Amino acid sequence: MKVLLAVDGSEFTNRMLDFVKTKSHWPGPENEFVVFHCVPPWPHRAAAFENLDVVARYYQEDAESVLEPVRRVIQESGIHATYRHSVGGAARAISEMSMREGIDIVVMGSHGHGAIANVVLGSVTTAVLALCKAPVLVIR
Amino acid sequence: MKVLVATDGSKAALHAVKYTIKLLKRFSSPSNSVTLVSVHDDVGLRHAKRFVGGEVVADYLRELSEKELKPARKLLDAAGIGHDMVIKTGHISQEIVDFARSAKFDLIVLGAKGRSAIADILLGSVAQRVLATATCPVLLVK
Repeated sequence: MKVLLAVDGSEFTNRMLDFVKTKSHWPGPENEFVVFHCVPPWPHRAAAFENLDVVARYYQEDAESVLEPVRRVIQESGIHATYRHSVGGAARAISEMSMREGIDIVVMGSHGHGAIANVVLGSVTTAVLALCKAPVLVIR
Repeated sequence: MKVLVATDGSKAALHAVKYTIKLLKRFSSPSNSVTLVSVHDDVGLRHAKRFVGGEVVADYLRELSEKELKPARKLLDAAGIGHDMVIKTGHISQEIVDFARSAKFDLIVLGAKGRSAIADILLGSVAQRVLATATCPVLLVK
């Protein structure tokens, strides 16, 4: 099974990883894990004031700051995974990637960074559920 | 892995069952178990209850549930996966979530859109409410 783990470094990402860790044999004996983080882009005007390299480095660092702790946790539990990131709208990126690469299941937290505590479901999760054709496992 | 599959006989619900089968076939373990649950709302039938009696309504809903569960059970039987079946009445999403919590399920699987959803709606109301209130992971299948 090809599993897409959508991460954003929030508390819900940790909960999601806890779930994946305890069920590493799941959803199948041979899984291919792809850890994916989508970096929110700079506003155009802000990016225009900066050197392109600076912006690119910022994106790289942002992605690394989220993926690094995830990599540590995943490796500790003996799971092999590939790590990817992109810049742009997270929901669209996640659903497009899941379709393009034939992902069997998308696993993500119910909320991200933007969530106010009383929102029942985060905006990115809601959008992924709407856009994505693959089954989505939502971890609360 | 204790899996609760909520079904209402809709297309998405059957997809959910098929996907559960796929998951469990890939990873067979003695600790796997599947429970099918069908919930019907009896609140709207309050008036009917007054005229024909609660038992008739309960029988009717049970029959309805059994009919809806049949295709799902057939799929599981064909795949050789043993399963339990639970029929409940009440507030649909609440019953599903409460049952999953009290019976300590690891996962709830359900269709993204059930019977009552309008064709172009993206996520059914039951799926939304289960997602909002469940304490365990929820797998939505389209």
